[in-house]
Amino acid sequence: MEPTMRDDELIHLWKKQEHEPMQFSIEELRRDSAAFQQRIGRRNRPEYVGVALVVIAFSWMFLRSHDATPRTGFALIIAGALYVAFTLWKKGSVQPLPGALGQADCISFHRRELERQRDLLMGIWKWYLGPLIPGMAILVIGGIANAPANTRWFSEIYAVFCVAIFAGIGRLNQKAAKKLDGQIQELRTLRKES
Amino acid sequence: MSSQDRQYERAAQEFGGALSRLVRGYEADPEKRRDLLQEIHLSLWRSFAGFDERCALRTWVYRVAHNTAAGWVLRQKRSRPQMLVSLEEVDVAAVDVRHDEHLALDRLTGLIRQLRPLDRQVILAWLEGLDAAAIGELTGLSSGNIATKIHRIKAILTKQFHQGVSDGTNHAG
Repeated sequence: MEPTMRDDELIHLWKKQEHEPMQFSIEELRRDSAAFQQRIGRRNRPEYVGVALVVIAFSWMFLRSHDATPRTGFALIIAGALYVAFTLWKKGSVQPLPGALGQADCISFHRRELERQRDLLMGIWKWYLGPLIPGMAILVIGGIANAPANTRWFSEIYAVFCVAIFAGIGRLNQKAAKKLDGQIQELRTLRKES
Repeated sequence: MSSQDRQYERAAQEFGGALSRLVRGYEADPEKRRDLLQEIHLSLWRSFAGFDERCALRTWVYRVAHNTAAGWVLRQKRSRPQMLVSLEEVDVAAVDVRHDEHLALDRLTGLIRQLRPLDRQVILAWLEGLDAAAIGELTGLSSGNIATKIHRIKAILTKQFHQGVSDGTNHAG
């Protein structure tokens, strides 16, 4: 049999590898800490930009429309989008305590992270899709009801498209949540065995 | 200098080398590796505000480092989806690494980066020379589970590093 690298050789090889001498001064870390907090604040920026665009577009449509039904729909979508932004801000503002990373062993910490992600995905109907539904429903149903008979089919197809998009997003998130749930269960089993 | 600063400086001095090696198991890109190392040092410094000395300094440092790095892996997975495998699923091909330590290290880090965070934590801790009890304290795994994983790690490494590094010059004592 060919010679095999021994365990102690591998450990020795691993430990003696060269590494760039990187040192961080306390002052540098203080600066990084402030920058880190700002980065956390900016993390959801694309979502906030999306919400801002929705609010601007639907406000413009609200102001231009004189009919009560679409105006109600536009107002509800604006309210829904603002609720989504508020939820993102609230969730993004929750920071773990400084010592949390050292107090939890790797299984517990990893499980908590996965649970947090899973809950966010599972709750998508509650905090992301749900708040937009009333406004969308009023606009779509109102559109069908008010459409002339010869173009009603277009409004109906649009309604089916909206339902399919919402259902698709919901389904994809549920699927991702289920996958995470499997990983969480695995970690729970390891914890029980411990 | 505050107690938090003092504890951080002591930890950085004592475990700085281990942390530099640890990030190699989590990130291949040198620029991003530096970012991860900086994030770990930042987490470590911040963590000492809550260090209650209920566990050893070494356990605390490794927990902070691995938990921060596991969070990094989860974030990278979202932006660069990549299938991570368990020790039981990993498949390796034997390579001849004679006379080439760099190749051996590349293979080793490449292997580690394929693994799911928990298995990565076990193998990295084992390579740092931690015993089963210390790995248990770090990961939360039972000694039985750790023994099984280490056995599997050794089997994988034996298969991968089919040949010795070189003929004597690089052997540990």
